[in-house]
Amino acid sequence: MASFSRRYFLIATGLSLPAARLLAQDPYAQDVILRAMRDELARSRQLRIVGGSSDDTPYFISYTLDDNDAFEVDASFGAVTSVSRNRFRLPNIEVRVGSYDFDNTGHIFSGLYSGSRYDTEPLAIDDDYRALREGLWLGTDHAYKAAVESIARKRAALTNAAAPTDKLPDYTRADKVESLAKVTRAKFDEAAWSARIAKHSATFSAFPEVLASAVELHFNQDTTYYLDTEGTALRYPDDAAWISARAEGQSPDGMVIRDTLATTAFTLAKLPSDDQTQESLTALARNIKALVQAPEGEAFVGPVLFEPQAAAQLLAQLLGDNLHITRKPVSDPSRPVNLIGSEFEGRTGSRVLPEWIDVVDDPTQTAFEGKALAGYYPFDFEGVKAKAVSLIEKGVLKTFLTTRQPSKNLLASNGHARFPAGFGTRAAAIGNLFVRAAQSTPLADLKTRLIQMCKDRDKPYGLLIRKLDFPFSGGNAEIQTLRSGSANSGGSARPVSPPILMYRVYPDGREELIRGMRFSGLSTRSLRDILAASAETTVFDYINNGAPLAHSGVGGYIALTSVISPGLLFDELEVAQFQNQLQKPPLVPPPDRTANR
Amino acid sequence: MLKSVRTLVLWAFVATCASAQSPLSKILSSELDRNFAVLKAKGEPAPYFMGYSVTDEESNVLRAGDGAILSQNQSHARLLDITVRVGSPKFDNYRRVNGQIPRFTVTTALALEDNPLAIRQSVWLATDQVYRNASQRLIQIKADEKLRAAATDGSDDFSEETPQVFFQPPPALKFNSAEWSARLRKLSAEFKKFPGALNSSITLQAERTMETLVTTEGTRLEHGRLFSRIIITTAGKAADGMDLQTMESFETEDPGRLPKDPEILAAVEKAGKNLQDLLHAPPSDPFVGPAILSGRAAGVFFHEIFGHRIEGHRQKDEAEGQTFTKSVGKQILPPFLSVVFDPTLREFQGTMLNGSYLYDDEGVKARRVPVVEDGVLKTFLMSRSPIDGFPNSNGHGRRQPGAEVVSRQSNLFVESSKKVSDKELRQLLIEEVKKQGKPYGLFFDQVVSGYTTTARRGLQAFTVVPLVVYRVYPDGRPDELIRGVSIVGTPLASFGNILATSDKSEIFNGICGAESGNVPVAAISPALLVSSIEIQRKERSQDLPPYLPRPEEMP
Repeated sequence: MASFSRRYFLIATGLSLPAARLLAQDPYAQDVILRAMRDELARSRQLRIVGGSSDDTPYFISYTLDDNDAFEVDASFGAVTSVSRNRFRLPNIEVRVGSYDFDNTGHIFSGLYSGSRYDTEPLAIDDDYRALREGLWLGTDHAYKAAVESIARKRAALTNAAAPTDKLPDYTRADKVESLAKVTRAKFDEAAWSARIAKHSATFSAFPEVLASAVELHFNQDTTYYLDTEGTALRYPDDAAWISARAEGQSPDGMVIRDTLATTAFTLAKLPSDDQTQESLTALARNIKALVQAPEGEAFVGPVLFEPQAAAQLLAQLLGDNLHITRKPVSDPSRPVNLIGSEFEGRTGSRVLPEWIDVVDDPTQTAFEGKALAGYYPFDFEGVKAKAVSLIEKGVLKTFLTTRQPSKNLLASNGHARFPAGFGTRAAAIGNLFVRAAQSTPLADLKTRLIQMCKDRDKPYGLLIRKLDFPFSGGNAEIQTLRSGSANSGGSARPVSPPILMYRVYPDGREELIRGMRFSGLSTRSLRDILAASAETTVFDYINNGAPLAHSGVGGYIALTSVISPGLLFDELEVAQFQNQLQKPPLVPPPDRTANR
Repeated sequence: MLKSVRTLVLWAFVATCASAQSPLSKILSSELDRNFAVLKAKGEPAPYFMGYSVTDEESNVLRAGDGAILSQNQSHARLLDITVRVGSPKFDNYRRVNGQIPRFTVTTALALEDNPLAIRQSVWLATDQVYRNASQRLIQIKADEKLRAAATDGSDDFSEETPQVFFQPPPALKFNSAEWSARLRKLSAEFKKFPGALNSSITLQAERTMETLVTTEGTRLEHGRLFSRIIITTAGKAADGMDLQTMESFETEDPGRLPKDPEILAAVEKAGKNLQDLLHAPPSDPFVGPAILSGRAAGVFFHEIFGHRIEGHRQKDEAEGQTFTKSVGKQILPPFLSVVFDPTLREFQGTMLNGSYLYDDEGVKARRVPVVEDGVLKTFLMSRSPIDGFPNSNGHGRRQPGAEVVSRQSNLFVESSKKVSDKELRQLLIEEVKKQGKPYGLFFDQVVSGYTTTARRGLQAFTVVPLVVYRVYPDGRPDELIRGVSIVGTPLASFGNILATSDKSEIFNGICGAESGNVPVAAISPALLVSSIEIQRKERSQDLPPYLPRPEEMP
């Protein structure tokens, strides 16, 4: 009976589905979310304006839905400060009107709608077919109205603007994929995890130099659904667990010292053991202690050695932010669009790295040398299967990471749409970025070479960097300082996170920690000055959120990412003082940490 | 009216079971003493007053629509706010200059358990930050002061009040999420009867709030309350694109005391039916003439156009309209009307009053404040920020965690000595319609409040958003529902227009948003007959209802 009426409905709406779906093992019969999405998507194809032109009918509709169960515990100095558990189903409904060649996206106001909206985000958390369809119905209506409004604005803007030089289509077709994985949810003990995180946060109590600190656990159990009118149908788990910590101190001259860490996994069970976490938190506290006592650095130009983690953090930014193209949206002639483009744009076929370095982004890999890779994903945000892309071969830029929005010479998606972006489009981002050196030497030898370079050039010391503040943990004001500092020194318009652990390496091999420095004049051009790579490599996992410097604390969508890199020796880089606003240490001495324990 | 009010349950009766100081209060007290001692000795400028306030909030929110749970949130947080006053009560860092409301507090999340080490560390760091903000502003405004003409109001910045000590054990919040989910699913499924309701929901909120306050004057307070409410909202779009909505709500303390299902169901049906009727009602036309405001509508009306204007700090602020600043002792309302603010009343006619509290957010004991007696303005709502002629607080300094205190409303009572039955009031309306030669009068059944512009630069108009309004015809025709009514007019003009009131009071419980954030309030008023009110048709949205019909019922 049920299958009869479903068939009837499908015939009535003129949608033919593969026969396999109507069999007894039909996943749609077992998953009410999938069924509601399919049925409302099919019906939405009828959307059109009475008396409107055929250009105003949808040619493509996609529904993405994240069925999320998010758990978070925050603790500080041994006590929980917040626990929350939220279930929500967040839809992302895309309606495109016009045609693949010309549609409603890519205008400065694409996606904006001047009318009132009745769709409630998020959708019902009950498995209630009717309520889910209601939500999708109103959401689609809103997206459709916004699309019709946007395409009209775009057409109007183009009647007055000079024709764009390269006529690119607005959207490309993608291969149809059907993959409906079975998804299971883990049971876990909230109270036990809260107690564990509280206990971890007490690590900092033993360090009087740590003035403020926090340890957080996040566990998002997320099932992603994607259906579109080209026939792609996906369901897959998109879970993420991470423990992050942050500690702050203040140097005697008033400089605020910070360090952070984050360890990620796809499940709680795969997070590091308590002992390992304890160890990394203690290391974090020791970093604060050492930094508080460290001298402030001075402006420097000369050889710099990045250990593998710092190199991975650097390349996550310099390569990660520039290996995709953002197409400029259509705007009114009087309204300029300020977009920071890729520094690599127009440099395909040119050398951007030493000829012995290859760069590949491969989100299909799940592990590297036995270590799980955070940047694995099966499908991207547009329902396209993730693909390995050889980006830089023998130092020469070959191609970019792409979405279904074509840009010059890049007409097809290679499955890297990872974030919703402005102007009705999606943004590409890296997954697992492999930086491979064809020639390498042990790290210890690179340090020797650094010392030798300083001697040859009469430098009192060279610089060694172990860790950058990436994802950036400072405030927006500091990002502004970094941005103007970078732009004024001839560096990238996108500033690079400052170093946290930076050492002077003296001719005798002695290392001295310094604080309060940032890069100066650093951009992708600096990458051509790489002299050598280490034999040792590291996997650096982080939580990308699409924000500048992956600035932590910015909400919204996240994409787990890995960069696999060797250490790198740069012939010459420039660093300058950060010039923080200094603040006097507190007048009142700290409370006694041993009393009332 | 007055008599019946006095016989109601008072907060004080409940608060007799005073307990001992809690561990949290002790930790805060000792850290307060330690920080105050050092800052007083070494601070330049030195603080003369400090206070730590912790709001411990436990909240459950369930939202359902069309038979399904839409969202479920649970949260528990302890938020610390710090007050540091540097200088002297005559001139301190809180002085308002050019309407600028200074904010010093840095809201800090504290440990949920009474962990002394964790709490002390957070309190200490936050104190340093707030002290810096406070001292920096004092130095700045003292320098600026020399360059400016003296303000009209020369009163002090901080009043002297008796320190209060009172400990009440935290109230217990019993909330069964599974049971309520099942009830809300069933209740919200009723919206299916109203196809014009595009977006409908029932929201249930059950909260427990515990306030802990310690000050350097010796105030030590701990008191809490429960708050539960059900809000039913439904919204739709008329064929011409006009957006319409209706709402119903219930408030009480203990969620267990919320109404039973049949009563909630009736409210769902009422909201749904009102919306359905509105969708098909004729749009309103511009009109000036007599009207009756229902008790609930009148309460909102008074809260917005009157209540906000007698908040004390507005009389001192040169940037404010200061409508009533010079009106004390003068007739500002018809002589048959009095207005009282009384946070000490917990209930009225069996309904919880949302604006009740034992102590305000500055630790001043709540009290009954008659602000208008027989139409004559007697006083203002006062926090510890004095104004000319009113050197003390009357327990109306309030705020939401994270904001700085200003004077705010509590439970507003409109009391009348010119009372008639609802039937007679309606007859008076019809007579007034005839007298003015109008085709009809208006009946404002339901309104929600918008915002009040009290700043001098802005238009001095109140914003009350009418939801359900009827035309009342003098010839005995049935009342006619109209949609899209929007009120225009100036507050001062509206006051003189009240002709009579009904003999039954109604309660509007709500949340009021202003400079110091959202605070719970109530307004209790009889229905009012006004000789003249002006309405216009609200701007309507140009977009149409959804293109596709509602999805069919599917298996």
